[in-house]
Amino acid sequence: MLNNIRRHASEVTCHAGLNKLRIYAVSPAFVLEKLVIYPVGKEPAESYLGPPESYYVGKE
Amino acid sequence: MQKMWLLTGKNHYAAKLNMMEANQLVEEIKACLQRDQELIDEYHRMENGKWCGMGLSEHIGFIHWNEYECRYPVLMLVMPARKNRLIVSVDGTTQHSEGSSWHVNTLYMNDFRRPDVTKASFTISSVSDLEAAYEITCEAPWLSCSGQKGILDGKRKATERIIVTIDRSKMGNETEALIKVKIPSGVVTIIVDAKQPELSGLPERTFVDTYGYISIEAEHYHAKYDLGEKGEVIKTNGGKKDGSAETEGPKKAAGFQVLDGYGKTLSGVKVFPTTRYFTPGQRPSLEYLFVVDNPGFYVVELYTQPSNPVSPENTIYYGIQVNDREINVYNTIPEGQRVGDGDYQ
Repeated sequence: MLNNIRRHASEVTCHAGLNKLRIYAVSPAFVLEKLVIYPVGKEPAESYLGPPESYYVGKE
Repeated sequence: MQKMWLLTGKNHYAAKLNMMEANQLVEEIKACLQRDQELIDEYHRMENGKWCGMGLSEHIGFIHWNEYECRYPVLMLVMPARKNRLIVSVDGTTQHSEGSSWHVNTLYMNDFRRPDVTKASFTISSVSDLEAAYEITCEAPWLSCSGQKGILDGKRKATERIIVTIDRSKMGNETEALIKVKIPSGVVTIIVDAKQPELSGLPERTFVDTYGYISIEAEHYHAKYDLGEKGEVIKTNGGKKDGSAETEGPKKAAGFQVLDGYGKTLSGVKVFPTTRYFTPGQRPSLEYLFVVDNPGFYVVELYTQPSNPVSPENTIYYGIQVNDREINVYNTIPEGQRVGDGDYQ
C-alpha cells in the first residue's frame, strides 16, 4: 500500500510457445495496471515500478 | 522533491560500489534541500509575510500521517580507493566488474535481443580520486561505441556513460559480439547478445520473453470481452481506442475500460459498473498472449491499484485462466490485512 500498488501472485502451468492468459472480473473496484510472468523461483529484480514492459508483436 | 529521492537512490547504488560519483550525488541532493529552503523563504515573504511560519513544519520523508519520525534522505559518502581503480557496469542491470582476472570480469548486454532496441549503454566509474585510463575495443562492424578511450579522475570527471549502437543491416549471420574495456585492474569483457526472437506466425500483441520474464502493461491486452445488455459477450481486439462503453458498437452493460495515465506506469484497466459483482459465465475478461521457451510452472503477478474494497469483507476477487483450462479465483487483499475500521457500512 505504501508503494501505491497491490501485488498478487499465483502459479500457472504454461507450455512452450504461445500461451493465452485471461483475467476475469469478479469483485467491483478491480483495476489492473500491470502483469509480470516469470518461471517459479526466477523472480525479476525487485524495483519500485516493476520490470519494464516486454517486447510485443506490432510494437512501434 | 522527486528529483531528490531519485538522486538518493542513485547515491545509495553508487556508494555500495564505492563509486566516487556517490559523493557528487550527495552535493546534488543537498542542493535539492537548499532549493526547498528557498521555496519556504519565498513563501514566508509573500504578501508581506501573510503566511510567515506556515513552511516551518516538516514536509519531507513522512512515514506516518503526521511529521513525527519523518526522515530526510540518508546520504552515503565513499572513501577513495588507494589505487586508481575503475569499475564497469552494464546499465539497467546489477552487473559490474573491476576487470580483475580473480573475480567476475565478463558481463552480459542483452538489450539488443529486443527487436525495437537500437541503443544500450554501459558506464565506467572512478573508484578512487586518482587518474585512471580506459580503452574500449569492439571488432564487430555492427556495433559502435560512443567513446574509445579516456581518463577519469574521480573528482572533475568520475563517470562516463558509453552508448552502444547497433546497425542490424551489417550483422550478416552474426548475433554475438565482444566489447573489451581495458582498465587499470584488467580487462572487462562485455558479451553482447543480439539474437532476435522468432516472431513469424505470432498474432499481434503477443508478448515475447527476451530477458527471462514477460511484463505487460494492462492496457496492451490482445482482446477484451465485455457484456452486452442481454448478457451477451462483446469482443473487442486490443489496439483499438475503445476506452468506454459509450462509444459506437453494441451497447455494453459491463466491462473493462482503460483509465489513461492512471496508476504507476502506463494506465489502469478498470471494470465497470463499479457496483457490480460478476458471477461465473457472466464475467468480463481481458485476454493476453505471450510466448515462453520452456514449459512448466510460472508465476503470474498482477499489479493492481491499492484502493480499499467497496465492502467490509476485505475482498477484491479476480479470476485467472491459462490456455482455456479451469478458472482460479483469488483475493488480491492479503490474508489478515485489515482494510478500513470495520464499521463503515
